[in-house]
Amino acid sequence: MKIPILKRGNILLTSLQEDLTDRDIVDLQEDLLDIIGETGSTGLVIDVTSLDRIDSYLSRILSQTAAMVGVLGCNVVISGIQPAVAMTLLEIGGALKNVKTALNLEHGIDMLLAGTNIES
Amino acid sequence: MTISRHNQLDIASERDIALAMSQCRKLLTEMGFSEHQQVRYTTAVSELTHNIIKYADNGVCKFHTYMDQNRYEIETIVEDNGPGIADIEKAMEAGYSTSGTLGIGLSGVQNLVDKFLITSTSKGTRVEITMHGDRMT
Repeated sequence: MKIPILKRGNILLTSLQEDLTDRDIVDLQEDLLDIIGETGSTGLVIDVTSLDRIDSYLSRILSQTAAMVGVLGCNVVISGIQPAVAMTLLEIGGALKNVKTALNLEHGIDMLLAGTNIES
Repeated sequence: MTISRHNQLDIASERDIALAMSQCRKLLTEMGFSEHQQVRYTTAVSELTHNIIKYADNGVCKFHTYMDQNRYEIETIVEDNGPGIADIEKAMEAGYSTSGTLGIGLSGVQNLVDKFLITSTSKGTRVEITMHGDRMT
């Protein structure tokens, strides 16, 4: 299953759905790196509103993707983590490390547009 | 009167995990677990079933549900015939992982459920997790 990546100005948007396989994620990581390389996008929002759980594997993959994209000079925000998912993430001690998060997609985009304010 | 149900699934691929997760979610919803409990429990099952394909190739995931007038309970047994865990005590320490991924696996899972039991030999690993809820009367 190919995960769509949308572009709006300098910002890329992508949304993760339930039941992604490792293959899907690796493909997404490659696609993101390609698109950022081509377009010079400076921001990326990964929206996870529709995920009803984030286990340690996915949490690690998200952190890894953010780091990877960050190396290309693109700021990443993960948006839409559901409250119960956020609590569970903390309980298992797998809180997303070194990743900026936003309540929803709109806030995520605002954070990126504010640009210089989002130092990690 | 107690109603109990059993359900067993083979786990050998991510597709099997996806199927197990959607069944688990459905059972939890039907039984009346809260949203937060559902997320906790499905996250725990997700960790354990992923461990199967990571460390053992294949295994099984069994759901048992029990309900009576006052109480409901779900128990999941995740079993594989992989190489087993050499040092369970160490594996249960927060932050420990032999595979170089996040070391939150087993101790993290334990935090999410009401009851956690693990046994492991050189012939395989078996983890049992339980969560229960009280019915409002």
